[in-house]
Amino acid sequence: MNDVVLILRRCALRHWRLAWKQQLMLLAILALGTGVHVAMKLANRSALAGFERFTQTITSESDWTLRAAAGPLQEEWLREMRAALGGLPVNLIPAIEATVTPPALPSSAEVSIGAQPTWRLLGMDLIGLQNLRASFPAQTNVPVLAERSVFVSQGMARNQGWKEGSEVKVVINDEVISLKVAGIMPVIPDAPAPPDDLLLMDLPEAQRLLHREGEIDRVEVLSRDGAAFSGLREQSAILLKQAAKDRWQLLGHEDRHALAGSMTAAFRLNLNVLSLLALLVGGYLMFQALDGVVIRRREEIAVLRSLGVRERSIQMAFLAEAALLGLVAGILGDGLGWVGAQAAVMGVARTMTALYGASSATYASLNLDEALLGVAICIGTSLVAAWWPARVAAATPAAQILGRHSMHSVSGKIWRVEVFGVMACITALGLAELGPLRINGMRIPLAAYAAALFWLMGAGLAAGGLLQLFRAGENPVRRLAFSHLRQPSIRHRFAVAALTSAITMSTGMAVMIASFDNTMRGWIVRSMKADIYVSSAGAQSASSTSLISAATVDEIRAMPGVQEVAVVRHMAVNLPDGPVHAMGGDMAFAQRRDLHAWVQAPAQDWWYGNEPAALINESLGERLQKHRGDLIEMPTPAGLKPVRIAGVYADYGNERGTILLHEDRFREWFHNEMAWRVAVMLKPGADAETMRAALQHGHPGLSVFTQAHLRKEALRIFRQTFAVTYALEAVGVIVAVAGLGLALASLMLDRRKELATLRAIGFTTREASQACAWEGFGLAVSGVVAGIIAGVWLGWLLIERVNKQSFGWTLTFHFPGWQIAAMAVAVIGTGIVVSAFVGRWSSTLTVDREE
Amino acid sequence: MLEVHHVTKHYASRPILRDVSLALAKGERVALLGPSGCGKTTLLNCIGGIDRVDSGRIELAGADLATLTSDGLSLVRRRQIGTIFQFFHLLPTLTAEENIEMPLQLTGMAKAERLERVRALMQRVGIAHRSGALPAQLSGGEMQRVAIARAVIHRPMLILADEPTGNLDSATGAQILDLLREVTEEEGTALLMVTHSDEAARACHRVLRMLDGVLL
Ligand SMILES: Nc1ncnc2c1ncn2[C@@H]1O[C@H](COP(=O)(O)OP(=O)(O)O)[C@@H](O)[C@H]1O
Ligand SMILES: [Mg+2]
Repeated sequence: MNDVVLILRRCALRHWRLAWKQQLMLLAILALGTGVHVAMKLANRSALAGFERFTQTITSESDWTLRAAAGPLQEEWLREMRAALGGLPVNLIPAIEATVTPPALPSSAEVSIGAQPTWRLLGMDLIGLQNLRASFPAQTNVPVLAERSVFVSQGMARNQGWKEGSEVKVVINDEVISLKVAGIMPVIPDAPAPPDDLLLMDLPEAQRLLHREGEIDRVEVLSRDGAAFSGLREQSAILLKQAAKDRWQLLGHEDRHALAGSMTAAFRLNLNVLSLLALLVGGYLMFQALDGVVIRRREEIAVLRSLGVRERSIQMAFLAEAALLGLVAGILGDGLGWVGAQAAVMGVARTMTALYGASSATYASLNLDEALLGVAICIGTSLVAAWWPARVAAATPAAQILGRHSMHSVSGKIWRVEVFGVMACITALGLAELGPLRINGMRIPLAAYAAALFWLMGAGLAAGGLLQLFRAGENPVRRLAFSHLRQPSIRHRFAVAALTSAITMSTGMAVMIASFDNTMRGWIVRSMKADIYVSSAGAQSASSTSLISAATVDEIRAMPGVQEVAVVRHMAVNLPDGPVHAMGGDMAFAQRRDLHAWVQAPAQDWWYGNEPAALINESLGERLQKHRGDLIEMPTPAGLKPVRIAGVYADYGNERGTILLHEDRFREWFHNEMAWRVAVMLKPGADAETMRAALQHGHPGLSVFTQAHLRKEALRIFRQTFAVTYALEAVGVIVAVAGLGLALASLMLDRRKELATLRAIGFTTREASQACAWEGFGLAVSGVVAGIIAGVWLGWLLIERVNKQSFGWTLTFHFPGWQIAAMAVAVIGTGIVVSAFVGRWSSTLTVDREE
Repeated sequence: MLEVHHVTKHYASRPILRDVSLALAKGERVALLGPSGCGKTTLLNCIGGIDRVDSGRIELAGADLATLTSDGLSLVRRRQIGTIFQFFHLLPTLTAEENIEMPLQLTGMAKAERLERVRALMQRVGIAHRSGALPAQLSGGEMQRVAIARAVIHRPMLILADEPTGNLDSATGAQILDLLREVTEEEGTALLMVTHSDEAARACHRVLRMLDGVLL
């Protein structure tokens, strides 16, 4: 132990002081790796935070949530629930919820979908709430529950510039309604802060505004805490289930999280795959950097050994130093990650709003857990990275190093890294054949993710083999440069590995996105054939609950110039394994206009006949593992109904499932006259834009889009989803290219003696830096070539396995050749420029004097 | 052939070389003796154009080194000078043969001629059997043989050797000295050799002694 401290104090820390530039560089690499990972995590979490809130009421986490399998709960059932619970100290809090938006500005232009914020209107029993733990401000008197009064959070009041008494206009379904801010919810210590997108109202008032008297969406169940009532939670669950008679379902925290999770699956897929990349690239860079440290000190190690220090002590000292480095870099990385996350979150938030109308997150905070995790990951990686080189260094016979005075890395030859790489790739091929993991209705393509990880790692490591292929002709500069490639050090290998992984990832994602894009465009053209589309202005996103009244639909139908109107009705329904959309539409219209792209086509006029039949979308088929001809049990307000699957259609609009019924059947089962979407076909000669303007003018509570605009919007939103992806990918590639530069720089530092030798035998400074540029060129080309080849398979994996298993969408493979060629040229070009720069810098290095 | 006139050199205002003058004729071997730190390596570096003098003049084959650019100096080195170091300094990623070949490649000699010359010289210095080996696989004596071969392969006028036997056992050192003498004699190359050993000095025509930056 003494030895270890002595080595640390006398040698390691002194190196930090003397070679502070190198040390700083190393810290920067470590911190960058950690930073990217932390940033990704934070951005991911804050993006998801918006969803968790969706399921969380301001009563903080309730023990259970009751909701109907299909449609709303009836208010009168509350009495039965209370009766079932008997005298148990359990609170039942009914709630009704809807999404609302501020009305569109009175401009005539068509707006972008998602440009308007979406708020949540939550109706709860305010007086009941007052009696609860950490909930509604108990100290403030509930003001007179005046008509149309809402409570908002401090954050929302600040953002919108509202005060007590302010008037607020919102679109509820297709009406514009004016509300009054009755109070601002204070932040209560130790309770979750009220979300910034919430308008809280008294329950009866909310029911009235939503035209849903007597209905509630869910009931929160809160059992009072305390040791005296242990088992209360379970007991109340049993009682409530007994009384349900299929009318309501009981959901625990886990179910609610799963619900939020399934909504963001698409998005999380992106981020998951990308944080994988960050971790890998960061890890490679760390390995590389620490190997450099060990090599640089091999002489010192040899001297220590010759002085009688034990192998073990040297190894320990190195590991301790690595841990120390990891600690400092981890803290720096946390800071860096936090900064990066702020930028990422803004991009993420915009996408989330467009897709789900949910995220209010524009700021990512770093809490202690994550900060510690970041540091721990950094220290862990440093230790793992230092372990092997430290062992090699400590075990190398001192005489060999002292006698030779050679700085060349031997570890590069001992490690047959490529063999590991090829083995990892083969493992990936095997993993790709496994199916998804199914938990609570969520399908997680775990094996496919693992396959992606193994593939990325394997391709990176195997790519080092390409370095052997570089052959120089007559040119002495290239001969020298390529000789270094043919005997690559660990740092060469890891520089190539990092680059390969980043390029593989970028190529894979580019292939997936291009395939998506192509498939999407075809689908949009096919399924969006009406001239004008109408929805509630409140329906800014797929998960919105705002609807259009039957009266409004009739008005639209009666407008001059309208030839035909097709109405789509919608109801959220819960299958045992999770939510699905039940929809009703005019199937004759759909058949006539050929709106569906079939995965399994139905028979002609399938909706006639007595047996209930429905179409399902591909996602649901994948999720339930059901095909044409199978039966599904459809929950309706009147209980479960068996439905025969008539056909399966492709649907790239949502990754939840959809059950599409003919409209008569839908109305019969769900008693719902409100429309979710209205498609309008115009008479020949009628101008779509004129009609749209007229409709919009007459109905400020509606969103009206022409076909052209909606098609454009659909593509825009789709592309926006991937904008973050591109940005994060770019970070990966930039980090890898920077890693290449850093690797070369540290190689050059190690090679100072060699550079001096080159000068002595007549190399000009230009030739010496050209040699460095050629070396960088070789590394970059190897990384890019291996990355593109590996990326094609990764693209296939993402399309055929990851995407198929998580959303069940069939995509046609498309290779975006030009885009990838441009990336290759850019990366190789940057690689050369960076290396040439390092080469020039290296010519200013002075050689350590030796006596 | 080599003329050094009144050269002085300072490091951070500390004089290292004071008014040093010397001359070497073609094919002449000169030993430079002196205690550690007296400025021998510095003088060699100045002559090799790796370091610049503060005042005075160094002429190699009639050219004033001070008038040359960095690239010009590189050209002088690749044509006229061969260098041998105490610690060999072979390029670690090139084989013995490739190391020796490198100076010829720099001068742009045709491949066939180059290889012929390299092979002959390797035969001559006794390392033909190690031609494919990397420096890390060679012994100290072998490495210094390769270094000598690399220093003379392009038939320079002058070889600068900085303690070429300093890192070898005496028997191997003696062999290397013999080799160095023979090779320079055969090629008519001048040699300026820093050394601590009297034996090495005896292999030379002339001995210079240096003390605190002054040639005695
Ligand atoms: N780059 C340098 N910077 C500062 N001082 C130097 C440098 N190189 C050499 N010296 C000093 O110059 C003196 C002579 O060095 P050197 O020529 O290497 O001596 P020798 O080769 O005779 O042992 C030494 O005292 C050394 O400290
Ligand atoms: Mg010296």
